[in-house]
Amino acid sequence: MITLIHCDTESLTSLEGAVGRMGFGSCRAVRPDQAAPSGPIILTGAGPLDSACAQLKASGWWRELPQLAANGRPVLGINLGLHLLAEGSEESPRSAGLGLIPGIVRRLGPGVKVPHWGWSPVRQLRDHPLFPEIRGGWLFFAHCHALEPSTETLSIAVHGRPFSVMECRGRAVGIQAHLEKSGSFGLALLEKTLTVLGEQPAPASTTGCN
Amino acid sequence: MDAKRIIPVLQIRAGQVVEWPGSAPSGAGGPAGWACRLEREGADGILFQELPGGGGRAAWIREVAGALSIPFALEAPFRDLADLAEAMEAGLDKAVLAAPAAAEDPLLAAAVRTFGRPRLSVAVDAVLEAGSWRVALAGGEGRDALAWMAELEQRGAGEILLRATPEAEAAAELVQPGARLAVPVVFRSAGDRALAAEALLHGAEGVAFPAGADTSDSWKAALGVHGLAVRQ
Repeated sequence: MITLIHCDTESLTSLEGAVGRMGFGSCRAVRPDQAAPSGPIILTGAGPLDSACAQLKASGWWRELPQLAANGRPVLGINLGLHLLAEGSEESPRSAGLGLIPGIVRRLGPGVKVPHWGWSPVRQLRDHPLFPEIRGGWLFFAHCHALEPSTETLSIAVHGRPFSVMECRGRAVGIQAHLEKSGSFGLALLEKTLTVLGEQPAPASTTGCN
Repeated sequence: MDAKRIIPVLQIRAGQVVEWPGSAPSGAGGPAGWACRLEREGADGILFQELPGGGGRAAWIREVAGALSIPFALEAPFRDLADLAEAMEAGLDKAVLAAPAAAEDPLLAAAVRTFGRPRLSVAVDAVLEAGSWRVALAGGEGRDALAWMAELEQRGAGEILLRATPEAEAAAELVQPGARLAVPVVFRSAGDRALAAEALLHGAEGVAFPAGADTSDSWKAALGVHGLAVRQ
């Protein structure tokens, strides 16, 4: 069962719809004690980092998530979720991140449109034994900040400068793109990621566009 | 390179898509059915435009968000932050504030603080009057369109949805200088592909056009002739 961390200002409807159409079960968890007993934990969002941080601290997730990850629980951060998993962000320079993924999140630009809201081609930097080939695919992005790529980064896109699209450190995965909004290519990558993180889909119960 | 965004527009009233002359009923069903059809036809996103007489947004937004796997936005007369929050919580990816609402600084500013800049766009309707592009704002004098767009950017708008009348002069005179803004500009087309291509070539990041007989894929094929990058 997938646990979706629920913050007030973020909607989980699209992600729930996407994983449901693939046949994965999911539940929302405002607090850690509402999490499923096992399975991946997804932290997603698109809003301001400060308010997400404050909500995660108030709900207990900020303290609990690193402990769960240290005990082997798979964690997936999407968009703002990736920023929160990183070591820090220019968006909130006085606060440290959760530190599950090394690196600092920096503002996009100068010289390009910010927010970056649209579709960009993704380039794979490193092969990974578990993740699929993603050369040539287009993913959807909606962000003002992004993680700087490192030698461990799996894939990047370019908006003025290269930024990290996908990171995998042990069982912590971070993805900048909104896979649930990236058409059939994004859905396939999301399904593969959840499978890599140990989740198995049951036969899909609902149908969507794809 | 980012793809130019191709965005069909669906008008909606009271949770029902307003079908256009010649639109095939086709069993597409409610808003989610229509939206899925447009996704399959190659749309990069969908813009819903709420017509007066609406209401009960949350239910259909939730339905669309649960079915669609591309982003969607809603242009509507959002009354206040709570009104906006209900739509966002239901699953809306981006809200397009109408100009009168955007002129009320507290709503835009509060919305940016709550939802972040990427999820907020502002509609600008510019009209060419006596040789200059103007916007009419509720309760105020007409404003210079470019100055107004720059002000919206300063106030926190994450995107400008620009409609220009007439379209024929807009690309060089309005889109090109507007494209110097730091935020994306999406050109709202009445459906003329040549004028839309001109706007994109002059720096617009995307084009929104009335959903109709022409699919997004056919728009992409037409725009590709001009060397514009589109998502295939």
